[in-house]
Formats: sequence, structure tokens, C-alpha cells
Amino acid sequence: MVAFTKFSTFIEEIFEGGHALAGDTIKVALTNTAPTVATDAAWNLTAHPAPTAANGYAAGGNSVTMSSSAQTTGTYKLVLADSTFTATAGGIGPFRYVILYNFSKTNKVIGMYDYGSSITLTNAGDAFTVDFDPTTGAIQAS
Amino acid sequence: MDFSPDKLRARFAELTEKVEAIQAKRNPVRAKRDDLVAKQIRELSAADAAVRKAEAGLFDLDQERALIARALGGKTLAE
Repeated sequence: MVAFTKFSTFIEEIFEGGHALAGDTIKVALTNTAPTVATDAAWNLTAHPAPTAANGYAAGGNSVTMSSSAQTTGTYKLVLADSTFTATAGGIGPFRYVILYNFSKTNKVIGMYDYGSSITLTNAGDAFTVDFDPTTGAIQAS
Repeated sequence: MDFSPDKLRARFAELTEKVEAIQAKRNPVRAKRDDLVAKQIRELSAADAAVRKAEAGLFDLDQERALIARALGGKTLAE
């Protein structure tokens, strides 16, 4: 499982009403351009261009299904379903980074995953799955 | 500087008057803002509940799709 890196702006937004994660539409987008975690505030195609080949890739990425958004003894956890990108003919890629962002809140960024090297889905039916940890959650905060 | 109790009380009264003047201007606009937030929260809660109802079962389906995609090494179509 690839490590989650939060965007710095996310922490401020949390305390200033910038997110309502229990109900907002959360998306994952693919890009081959390294995000700037220290300063990026919102996902956009200028800073985070879609893969050059985007066959079967929905503009803006996939919406993610939330399972739970809750705290236990003061530790908050957001549990998300794994998200699968499936290429059609022509493929998807290259991409190296997955960006988690809040579509409902002007695309404010949450966090990102660096897969270490570029990935390309070459053939129709090739799939890439963003694997969120169901136990610790995609996001945990205390 | 004169820090006698009388002078301090006078200054305190003067500051209180200024604070109350600002509060009088602030209170209606803050109340308006709080009403907006309360209305938004009520509407969002109802919308969130509708979304959750519509999405019932989706999490399990997503998880199973991801599991199968991984099991197939990402090759979800026969070659």
C-alpha cells in the first residue's frame, strides 16, 4: 500500500470549514506531474494534468465511495472504497501520482500518493486500483 | 500618566462604550451569517442522507471489483 501524503493546506481547511467529508464528493485523479504538497490548494488540470492517454479515464478522475466518516475515542477515520480505473482501447497513462481531492468544495486537495514510477495501462480492460486501507482509513487524525 | 482609580474607571467606561458600539453593528450581521450556516447545515444533512441511501451497497461492490482487478493483475478483459 502506497503511503498517504497530505497537502499542507488541507490541515487548515479542516479547521476552517473547508471540508465536510461525511457528505462531500471525494475524487481521485491521476497525473504524471508531481504535486506541490506544500502549496497546492486545489486540484486543477494546469497543476495536475490528466494522463496524456486518457481512454476510459473520466475527466477529473473517479468519485470515491465513502464507507464511514467517524471518530472513536478522539481519533477520526475516513474509510473509502478502493477505486478502480479501467482503460478502454488506447489505454491510460502515463501517471505516477494519485491525488485525493474534494470535488464538492471547489476541488480542495486532501492528499496524494506517489507510486514511485510512471504507470501506463496499455490495453482495453487494463485496470489500476487505488487501494485505501480499510482498517486505518484513507485519512486518520487525532 | 494618571493611573488613579477614577481615571481608570473613566477609561474603562469609555472602552465599554466603544465595545458596545461595535457589538451593536456586529450582532445583526453575525446573526445573519449564523442563520445562513444553520440553514445550510439543515439542507446538507437532508441531502447527505439521500446520497447515503442512494449509495447503499456501492462500497461493497467497489471493494469486490478492486479485489478482482488485483487478483487478475489488472487484466480485467480476456486477451
